[in-house]
Amino acid sequence: MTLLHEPDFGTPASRSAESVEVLIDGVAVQVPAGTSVMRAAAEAGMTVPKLCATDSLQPFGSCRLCLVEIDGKKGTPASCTTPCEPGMSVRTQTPRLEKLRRGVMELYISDHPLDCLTCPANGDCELQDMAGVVGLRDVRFGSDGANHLDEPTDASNPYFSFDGSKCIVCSRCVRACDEVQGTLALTIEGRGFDSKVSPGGRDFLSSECVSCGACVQACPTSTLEEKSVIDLGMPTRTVLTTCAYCGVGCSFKAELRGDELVRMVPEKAGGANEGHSCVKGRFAWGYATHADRVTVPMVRESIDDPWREASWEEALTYAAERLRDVQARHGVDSIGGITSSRCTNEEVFVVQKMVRAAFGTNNVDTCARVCHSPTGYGLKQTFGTSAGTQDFKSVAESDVIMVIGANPTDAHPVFGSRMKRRLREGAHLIVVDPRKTDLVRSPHIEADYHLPLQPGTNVAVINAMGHVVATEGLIDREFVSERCDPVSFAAWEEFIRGEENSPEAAERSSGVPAGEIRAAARLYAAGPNSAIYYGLGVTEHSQGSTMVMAMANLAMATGNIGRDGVGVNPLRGQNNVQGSCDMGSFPHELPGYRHVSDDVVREQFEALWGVTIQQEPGLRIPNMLDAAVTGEFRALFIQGEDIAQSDPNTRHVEAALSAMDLVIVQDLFLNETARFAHVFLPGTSFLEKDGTFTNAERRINRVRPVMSSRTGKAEWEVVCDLATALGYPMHYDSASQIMDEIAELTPTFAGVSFDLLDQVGSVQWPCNADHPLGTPIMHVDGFVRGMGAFQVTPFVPTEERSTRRFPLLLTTGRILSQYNVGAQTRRTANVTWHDEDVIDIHESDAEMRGITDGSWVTLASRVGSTVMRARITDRVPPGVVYTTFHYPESGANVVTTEYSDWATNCPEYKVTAVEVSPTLAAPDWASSSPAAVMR
Amino acid sequence: MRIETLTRMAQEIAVNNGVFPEDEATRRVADHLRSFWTPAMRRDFTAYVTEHPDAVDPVVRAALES
Repeated sequence: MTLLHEPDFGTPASRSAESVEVLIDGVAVQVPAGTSVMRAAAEAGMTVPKLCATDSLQPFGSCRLCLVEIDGKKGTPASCTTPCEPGMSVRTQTPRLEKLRRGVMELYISDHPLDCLTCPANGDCELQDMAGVVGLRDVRFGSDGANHLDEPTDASNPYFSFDGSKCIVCSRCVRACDEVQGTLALTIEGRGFDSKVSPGGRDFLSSECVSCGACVQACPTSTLEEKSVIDLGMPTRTVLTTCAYCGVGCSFKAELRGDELVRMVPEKAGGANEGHSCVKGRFAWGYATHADRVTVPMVRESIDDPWREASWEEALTYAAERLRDVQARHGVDSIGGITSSRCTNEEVFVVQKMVRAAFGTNNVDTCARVCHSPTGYGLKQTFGTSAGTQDFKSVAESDVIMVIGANPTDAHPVFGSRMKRRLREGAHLIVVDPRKTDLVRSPHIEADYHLPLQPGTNVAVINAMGHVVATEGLIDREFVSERCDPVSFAAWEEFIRGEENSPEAAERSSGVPAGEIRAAARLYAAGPNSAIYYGLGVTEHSQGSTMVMAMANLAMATGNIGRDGVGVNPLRGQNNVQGSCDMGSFPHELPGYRHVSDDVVREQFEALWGVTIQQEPGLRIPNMLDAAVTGEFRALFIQGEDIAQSDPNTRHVEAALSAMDLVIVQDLFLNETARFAHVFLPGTSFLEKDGTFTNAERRINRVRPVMSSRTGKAEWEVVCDLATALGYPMHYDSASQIMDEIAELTPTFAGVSFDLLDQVGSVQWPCNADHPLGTPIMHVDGFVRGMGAFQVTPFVPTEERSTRRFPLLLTTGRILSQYNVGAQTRRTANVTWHDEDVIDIHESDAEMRGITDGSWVTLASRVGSTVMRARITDRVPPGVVYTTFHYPESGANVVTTEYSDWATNCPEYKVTAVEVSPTLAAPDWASSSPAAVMR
Repeated sequence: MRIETLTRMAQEIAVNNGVFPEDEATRRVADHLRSFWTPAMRRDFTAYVTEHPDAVDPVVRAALES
């Protein structure tokens, strides 16, 4: 399509149910009560000139360009700050208004460079547009007097620049930082003529700015401009697509000149993000064209041989022959595949189909195994379906928000901004986390309760909250009796009232004062709308599944399910975690979470696919790796995952990969896992894909090809070709056809098609005959399983304990600027903010060990050791250390262990007993420059 | 797979169901093994437990026999 300009109504929409009628230039307009005159006029098609107003921000009334006349009112009020009143008669164009507006514009232009023809924003500048709209023909005030034309440009940020000479001090950037992003990094410094936008510090890069891009988007001039626009020029066409980073799944307008991507702009109509973005989605897409991309297939006999380029046919034939050879020698179940949450639903679907139909085994698993598999298990046991309950918008109705084991301002930043907006409006906040995350205390945000529990004691704390609810008369008896299974509730109530679940007992294991647990539980139960949001700090534990069920118990017991503002909500790490699970990636489930032993379901797939599907579950990823070490599992197809960096106990993973006869990697880059591969099949970036992603709120969004595939093939085509080479012909004309097959076989996707998504933008599953436009909130009238099932959730301490040799507990996570194993973000300018992983350690632990800030230290556990720099911080409590796993050079997973969730084998990344000790020797990789590390 | 791994996994499943009466715990452990373990994992583990009945929790043993 041509460049898409989304309409700007000037002020936000009113959510009032009442409506008022006003006359605008003689035309009757019905709008919700509270709507501004400016918005009412825009909705009626009569645009009022404006500069400081935009509909993502509250009205400000500073530019004086949107003046109108209103019958019966004195003067010329600003239409942005004037709400419509019943019967109001407004005139937006009169000679008096025209004169006033021209005068205002004259003043603006008198202190603005007249370089429109060479300005990067030429053609996309609201100041330029307004000069035309008001009919400005001359400027009486010369530029000889005091002005701002020599204001310097701040180009410190790698992605955008700030040209002070072009600033009209409309405060849109400051307000966007405050209202949309919630970082409050910008301010207006000085008074009157000296007023200017300031990032607070020396420059943007050294300020609190998080580079979300909201200020750039809000700027009506070229003051804040993407450097890519300055370098390449204005884009001329738009492709609507979806970000490929975290589980928020933001909608973006990819704006191009010809086939060259110029910038990614968040789409206002996007259901997940509603026009907001973060530094990754907005700016960190350069990896897609990075020189490291491998775009031709490669093969080798042995992992000790050099790679050799091959044709597609040669590579796929070679892969197929070796797969069949392994099966002939070691049995049909000696091979398997791994799907990726970075790939589309369609790409994932064909991989699990290839494994089940062409390989003939259920040995297929997905990277959700190592992140949110306990969510799937726990929510299915309690609610009946493996997904979060709410849409993201729901948080705006929450009165109490409990964040457990999640750091949304870093890992899910656009949702974090939504949450902070609600918190600034007065919602209460409980943070359950060993670390002092930004949410605990940041500008205008302070948690009512921070429960800094010892890693590994989640279940003790949440059970204690359940105990308080049950013993203090806080159970919502009406909800429970109407909506939940009475037998399971009675068993839970008896269990949770036990002394072993009291806050005092939890204090002994978790270190959190009983009084704090009691107070937090009372706050959550009081609501009235209380919501739980959680992340991998819940799931990546030996009791990850137990914790998910315990949270669901608490939500059901207090009636916090089935309406806006409540619920139990997993924040998914990667964009398509939900989708990859939906698509039948688990070894025990066909698409739609139906067990392979279900004859009726299996027969449906067998009839369409023309094969017999095994009725027994296959191997999970950790099982595959273990079986590889013992020689039973011999070949693996890996789609878009880097298990040699992301999975726990690197030495074990490498031993397993080394032991296999055949490893096939389908990826953008020669990643760590590719060191052990025999076949490399080049993949496509999200900018080349055609398909869908399903985000953490079950929202199915279109991913549209922004540029042609650099490999010449779609990833799903390659998988189909491999299946065909294996003797199982798989063919689709398009990704759309794959979705049609998904819809035919998966009841929750029955109504989904590319046509529908192209018409309505996105839908949240279930999307079927009963819910043709999807289901934003689940379990509204009843649980998917009928009655909600309480589960008894005993606290069982992990066997991973701190010892005299390894006295500290390590927990791992991610930071804002980097993503997962860093394969994408390390190949962008995001390394400006984080060019190596460091270990966070409390001052007292550091001092005891003679560790200074920034010094090299050895991080060691019982399974391995690595070297990285120390950062002394009070974000971690004494006894706990924290690091990220974005860089293979330091390889945090060298130290993580084989312990895992009892129900799903999700690794226990969040609890590893370690020691940190000073080391004099810097590692070899440390001599590389950040640019060299950026690979 | 290594017997040590299978034993640890089975023991963890049993411990996390240890709060239930023995027959209920046995049923739950058996269901879990049937739902999530491959036939080869169950076969190898059953063979090991048959030879080493004291190596696992009685609930695990009973679950394999059920």
